[in-house]
Amino acid sequence: MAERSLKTAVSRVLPRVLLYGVLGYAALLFLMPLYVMLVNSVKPLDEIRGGDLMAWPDAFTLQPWHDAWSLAQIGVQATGLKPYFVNSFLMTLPAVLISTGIGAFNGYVLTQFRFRGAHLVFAALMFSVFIPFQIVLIPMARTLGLLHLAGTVPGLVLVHVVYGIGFTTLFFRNYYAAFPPELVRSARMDGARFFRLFFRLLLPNSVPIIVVSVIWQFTNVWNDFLFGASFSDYSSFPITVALNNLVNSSTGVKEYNVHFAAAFIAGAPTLLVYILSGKYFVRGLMAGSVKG
Amino acid sequence: MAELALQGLHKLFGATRVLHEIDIQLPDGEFLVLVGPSGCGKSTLMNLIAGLEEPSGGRIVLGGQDITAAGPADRNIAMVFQSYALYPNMTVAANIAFPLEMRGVPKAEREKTVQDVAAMLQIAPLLQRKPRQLSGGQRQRVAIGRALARHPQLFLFDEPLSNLDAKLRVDMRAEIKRLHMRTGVTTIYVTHDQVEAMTLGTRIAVLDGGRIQQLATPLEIYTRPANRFVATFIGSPSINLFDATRDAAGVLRLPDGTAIGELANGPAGKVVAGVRPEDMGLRDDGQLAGRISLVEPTGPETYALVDLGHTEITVRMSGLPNVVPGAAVRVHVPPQALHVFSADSGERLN
Repeated sequence: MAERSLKTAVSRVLPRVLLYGVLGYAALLFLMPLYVMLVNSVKPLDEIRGGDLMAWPDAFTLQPWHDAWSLAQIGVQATGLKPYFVNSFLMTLPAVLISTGIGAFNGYVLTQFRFRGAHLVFAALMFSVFIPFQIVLIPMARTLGLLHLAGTVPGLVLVHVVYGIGFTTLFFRNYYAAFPPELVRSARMDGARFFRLFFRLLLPNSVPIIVVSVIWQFTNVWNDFLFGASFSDYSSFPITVALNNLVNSSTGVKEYNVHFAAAFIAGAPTLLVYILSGKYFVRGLMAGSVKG
Repeated sequence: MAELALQGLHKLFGATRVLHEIDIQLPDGEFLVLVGPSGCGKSTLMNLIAGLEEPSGGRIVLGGQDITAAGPADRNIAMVFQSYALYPNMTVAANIAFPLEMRGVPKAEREKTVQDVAAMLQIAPLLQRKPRQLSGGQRQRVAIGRALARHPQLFLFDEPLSNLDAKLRVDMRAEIKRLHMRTGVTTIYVTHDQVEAMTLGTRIAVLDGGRIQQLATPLEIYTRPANRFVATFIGSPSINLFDATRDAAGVLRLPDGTAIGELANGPAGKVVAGVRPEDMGLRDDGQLAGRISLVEPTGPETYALVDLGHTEITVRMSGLPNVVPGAAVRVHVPPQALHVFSADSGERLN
């Protein structure tokens, strides 16, 4: 009897142990780089030169963070990341808001009004989702030049809005395609016309998909390097380009602790967005598929 | 308040004719119930009246105005939907005020109307809640309140009670009737529930295959159905139908030769005779001989299924009579209770 109950206990517990073991190991692998970055960003440079990247800091210091933020040499002046961090925000916020707004409006028109060529318009927008970034570099450079937006933050905003519309339209179109039709019909009978139907009914009931669109666009625009490197200059670098310039500068001593801190600063906003709204992201992606 | 006229209204989806020429003249203050099986065109008809779909032809005249080409926002028609269609982002008060707001009614007046409507429907304590915090019955009241608030010329109800449980449905049914008596607004009400149709309507339109099969008072629909479809669609348990033959003398005979009644005028040959289950009775002098195959007591009345050999019929009796399956019985059919229909067209003959 005892032997048997032991067996069942083992067969019940063993899969769990294995499961958590594997998951824990995977989590460890993913968290390792984060650990290395954090630990080494609060060490004096001497300790890193000592060779042990995994070791806990002996002399804890926040100096590298301070240097990365306001002293590091990136452009002509030793300004630190601060102005580029600001650039990134000036680029990302309008780009996210405008592309989300246009996507919502597109989705509304594409689903609630049957007009000639609606499918074609949607197909064209979908196609834009699949165009590789590199293909549009030269036409985009020409366009920005003609618009006198080359090398400016507004120019980057335009690029990201144009590139984002395909995705945001797709999100909102699918969300509104599953929007309860009786609500729309009711509002139309109540007297809501084109714009009020959108602003009073559909948009206020789109929070989950707005969150999805904002997270998606924020991560893409903030993390973008290619467009930033191609279409900006010293005054308008986004933080990704600034970070690259800092880390790849070939003069002087490689200040690894400052680099780690800088990389962390550059990645912090997207990390924060995910932590704050990750659960809405999953919920929003599921919305529409299961109506509750 | 207004009278509604539908003139030759029809609708095609591609080559499919969903609604044939519909002509309805609905005087001010009437309560018209549209019934019919699913796919009969009643939802399409509602959408055309509401302006949510465009007719392929015909006219809609409301209160003397041709509104055929008007958009839904330009018709003073309010609708209560099956799903209630309350705006989830707005409070109950904002929901009720929404149609007024869209029509540019000043805020003070809106608030007064909301209070009035809430008092009438006893939903005042719910005004600051969101729809998701309400029960089904409460949502239904709010939906009706929203429709009432704008004083429409015409009310449309699209199966408003079908999502409620049985008891609540009976309560709300009475409430809707009381509301109609109080406000006197011309109303069209779609349902597939016969009891709702019979109890609420001042007139009933039975739809099938995109045509109006009969448009009459509930009493007439029930006692003098215009054709075989209406006879079978209205009434539960449904009417008993017999294949019968009219001989030269006008006597109607069942296939086994039993005479069950007469048809004074009409051609000799095959007809269909119908008798409502409650018009028949188990009597020793009954014309039809059979055997009870099943007894269904419901409390106030009992249904006995009787096997006549060539067909099975239902007899409806009040109370809980002492009948048992297997017993040999005779069923009495009063000749005046017969509904006779043409075997070909299904039209009423008597």
